[in-house]
Amino acid sequence: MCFRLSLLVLLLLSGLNSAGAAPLPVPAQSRTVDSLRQLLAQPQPDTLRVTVLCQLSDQLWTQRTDSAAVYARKALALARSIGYRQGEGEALNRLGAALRESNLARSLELFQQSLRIAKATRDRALEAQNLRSIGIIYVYLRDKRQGLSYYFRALKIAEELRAERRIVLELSNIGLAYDLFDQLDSAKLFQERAFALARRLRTPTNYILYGLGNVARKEGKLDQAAAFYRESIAESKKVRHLRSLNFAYVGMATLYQQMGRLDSSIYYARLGCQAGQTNGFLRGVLNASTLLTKDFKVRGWPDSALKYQSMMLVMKDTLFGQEKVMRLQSLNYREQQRAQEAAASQAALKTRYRTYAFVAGLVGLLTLALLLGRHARQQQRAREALEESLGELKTAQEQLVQREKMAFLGELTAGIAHELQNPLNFVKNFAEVSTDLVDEITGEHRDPTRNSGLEQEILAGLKQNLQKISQHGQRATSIIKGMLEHSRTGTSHREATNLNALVEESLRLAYQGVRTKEKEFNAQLTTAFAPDLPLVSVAPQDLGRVLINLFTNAFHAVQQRQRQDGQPAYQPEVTVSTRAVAGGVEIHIRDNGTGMSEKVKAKIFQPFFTTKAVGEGTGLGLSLSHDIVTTGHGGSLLVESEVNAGTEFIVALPA
Amino acid sequence: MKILVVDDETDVRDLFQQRFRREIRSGEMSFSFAFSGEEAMTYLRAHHSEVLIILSDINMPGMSGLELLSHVKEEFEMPPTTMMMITAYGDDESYSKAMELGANDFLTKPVDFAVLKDKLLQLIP
Repeated sequence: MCFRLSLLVLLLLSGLNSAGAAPLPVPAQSRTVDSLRQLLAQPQPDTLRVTVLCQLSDQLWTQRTDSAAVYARKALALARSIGYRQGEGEALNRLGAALRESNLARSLELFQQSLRIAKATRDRALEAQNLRSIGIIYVYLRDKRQGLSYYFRALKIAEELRAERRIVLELSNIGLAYDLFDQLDSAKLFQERAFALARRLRTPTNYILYGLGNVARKEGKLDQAAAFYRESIAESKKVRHLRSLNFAYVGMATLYQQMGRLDSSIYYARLGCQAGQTNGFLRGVLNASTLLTKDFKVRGWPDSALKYQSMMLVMKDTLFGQEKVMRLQSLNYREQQRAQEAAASQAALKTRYRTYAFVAGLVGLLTLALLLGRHARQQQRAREALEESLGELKTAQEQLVQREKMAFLGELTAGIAHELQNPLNFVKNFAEVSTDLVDEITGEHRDPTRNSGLEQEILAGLKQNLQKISQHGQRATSIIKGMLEHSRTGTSHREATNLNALVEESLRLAYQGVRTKEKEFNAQLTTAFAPDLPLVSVAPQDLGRVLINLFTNAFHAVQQRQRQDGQPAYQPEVTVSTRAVAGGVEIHIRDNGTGMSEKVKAKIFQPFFTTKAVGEGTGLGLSLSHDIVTTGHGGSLLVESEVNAGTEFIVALPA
Repeated sequence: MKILVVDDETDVRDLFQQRFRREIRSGEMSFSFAFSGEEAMTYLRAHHSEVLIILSDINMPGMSGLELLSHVKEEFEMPPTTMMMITAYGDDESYSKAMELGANDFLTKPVDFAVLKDKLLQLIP
């Protein structure tokens, strides 16, 4: 069934190919911009002007984000000056979309404002629009659950309204989100639905083709992927959509990079970079410059690599610096907004009541004042309740993160307690033998025929023992220092790190952590470290935490399998290897444990997802690890798994 | 009586030499040290007939104490009389495995040297 569907898509595409090849004299989109500008020059009722300004902003968004922002601001100012609520909501959404690159937090705030207006004015289409816009922000932040939940709410409204063009966009967005989280089956399903509907409606398929290209590329169908990207490029050019053009170019460049055809990859990535820059699409520029940096590095052109690397870093700073803050403050924002809004509506209410009161006279004034007082009290109470529940939510969230940290520390301390035992035993033993030695010189065992040779020997022994005591004390100190570093909060700085040593230390700590809890547990540990591994700039505490987490999971998986099938022939084994690859290093952690089903595998990086019994795991370990590797280090955390065969995690870090 | 001590912690040598200073000086006992299972096998191949007792840690990188034990039992027709396994994990599985492989005694870390000395003295002919 699935196969037939994709065949059908291909056939449709080849039809489109010949149509796309014919040059179009005037791009349809720019005609619209021109005609909208003309419309604006003529006298209009103000409400219509707001709509035209919003439409202009829409059209320009695909070409130049800052121009889109200008028109959105004009629309917003006009709508507010004439008290046109619906128009204000529309304009807020446009402004949010235009600011999504430069100021994510402000953008979210604008969408939420617009969403509230949409609900108040019962504008269902605008509501769906904002749900989608907010969904995009959560997908940016890699919050899959929230992102998809907004997308699906938008889709539901679109279906209720039977707004088919909107349905196409929602389906395609959902497909792209699944693609981002590497759920290829779902991504394909939604893109194919979107494509079929778009063809029927004769609406643009530029984004959908890109999404289909990505799925094909990730499935290893490279020819198919190239065809899809090519179609997407052609169509994006036709409708002058610089954002989707950037996506398609970047897709094509990734494909060529995957095939090892670096010159082609560089060619397309440069085009993608240009399209993104012209549009002001920072994320697109980041994706393109990341590819270029890698391509040039492999190609051995350090100057060009450096140029794009610095561009990449600037983009990362602008985007992720802001995202980090956002993530923490998202709750704050909502709270502040609601409080502000509540205060504003209260103020508005007061003025209105006051006007009536002047007309109605003193009696009316008194009555109203009473009413007002009650109303204010009610509002106050509602606000307090809201603040309280938000506060509770925040505390709950903090507690969960704290719990995850404690669970991690628990595992860590078990390993460290064991590490400490050896040096402490040495300290104790060397101190004891020293006491014996001193006794021999001064005490009861003293040899009556003083032997100066023996005395010298004893003194030398004493000196040596004191040195040993000091050494092992130092060893214990550094173990504890290591533990404190692991538990330390706040910003962690990066330093050039020997990954082999970090991996080995983490493996040992994790193994001892598990062994201390389960004394019977034994596993074969196999290590294969690349001897020529370059130093990599990482935050060692953060990455160590990730590694310990992955190792502990591996040990649990083999332990579980051992318990389940109970075959004496089964030998639990955890293998770790490091290797240098083009553009970075990879750490592979493999176990021959229970493995995971596709269903479980798809969810493991989601926050709060856990397969452990209630109360045993917080479900944050892998999600935090994923965060540390991707957002923190610009790398990737991949997983391959097969039920009853084992699991392999791959941590890929850029050099 | 020659005793081979196998442990990956190198300071074990100084510790044993001091703990058994008197026994060593009087010639009652003599100690050799190996810092891994592999090293122990090499040493045993060269000095097989001299060594009477092997004291080995279980948890070592590379060849573990249990593996060493099985290699020793396999390779030598007359293996050293006593093999004490010393481990930080006093778990039943390691214990029964060591006994199954033919270990003669089993100690848990931290080692009580008074007990160890008693056990060794009993073995002296």
